[in-house]
Amino acid sequence: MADRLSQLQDAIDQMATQLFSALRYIGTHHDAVPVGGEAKVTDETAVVDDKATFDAAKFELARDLIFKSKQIEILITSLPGIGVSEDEQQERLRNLEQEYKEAEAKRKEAVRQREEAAEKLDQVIRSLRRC
Amino acid sequence: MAEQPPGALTAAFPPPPKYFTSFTPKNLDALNELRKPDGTLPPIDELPEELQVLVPPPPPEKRYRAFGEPWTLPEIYPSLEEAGIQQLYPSPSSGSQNGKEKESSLDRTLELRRLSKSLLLNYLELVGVMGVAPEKFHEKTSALETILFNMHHLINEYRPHQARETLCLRMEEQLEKIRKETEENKKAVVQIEAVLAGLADVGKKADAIIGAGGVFISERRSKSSLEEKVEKAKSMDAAAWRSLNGA
Repeated sequence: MADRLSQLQDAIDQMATQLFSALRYIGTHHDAVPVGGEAKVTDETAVVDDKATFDAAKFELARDLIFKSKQIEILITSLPGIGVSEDEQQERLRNLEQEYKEAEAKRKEAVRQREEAAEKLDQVIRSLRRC
Repeated sequence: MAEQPPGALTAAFPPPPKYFTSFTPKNLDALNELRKPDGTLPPIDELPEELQVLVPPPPPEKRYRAFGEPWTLPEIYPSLEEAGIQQLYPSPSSGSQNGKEKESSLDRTLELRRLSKSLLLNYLELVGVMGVAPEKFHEKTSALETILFNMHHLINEYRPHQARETLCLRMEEQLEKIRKETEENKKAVVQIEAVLAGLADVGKKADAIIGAGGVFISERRSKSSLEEKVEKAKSMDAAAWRSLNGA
């Protein structure tokens, strides 16, 4: 999974694409309405959807846009480390490094003890097998 | 430095620099001849011309190029104004120029939310404009464009911050892992010791049984203490089994 910043940027890009495609859909699928007594204008390039489909599509496009916008907002609020300054982070990193070193020393000690114990046990088992 | 043929730096697979043919054993030996006793080289303009290219140039100080892209040292993310785009959020402070941004002085979440709201609003206005006067779309699309650039810019500025944050999280995870491992090792030690203690117990019981039967033969007194104990426990064990079988 990408990190949240990249997710957010992707969402924004998708939003831009949606903005474009929504307008484009309306531009290419709308029906024309005659004004006054003039004949109804026809556009060769347009694929005219009937009114119900067109309205449903418009509704869906609008809803998707709002969804995307909400999604972006959620991503914004979940950005990591909001309200932590760089110095605080550095401080935290230094503390973590210190803790890490201590924990690592303890771990090595524990591993050594375990190996010693295993060695003892091994000796006992070996000597049992020999007799 | 020898001039590069044009386009050499931007090619996906750039040709080797012209001067690579100068790195002959003969030239390298000649260069080593010229070294001063302390290993440093004389200033570059005192070297013969064919040897000058053998000396690495000093590291760049302000700017350098990599794969045809100019970079600055220290790395500065160019501000929106430098890229010719209107900045829609307040600048953090004048301190942002030295590459170390002041994150606390600017509430990115708030600004990003504002921008995402005005993105929708501007789009609504664009749709309205398209319905009334389609030829005037440019004003609104450029507003949308500016907003999008601003959002991306804000997010990108946030990246170093996230990198540090991620590092913190990784280190915490690592710490947790190490502590768990320590704990498990200690548990293993306790278990092994329990087993050994159990074996010693068995040995003692066996000793008691043999003591009663009086069949115990001890002959290996000279061994080192641990081995001796082990041997003892073992022979006692064996003797105990024998006496049990015999009984």
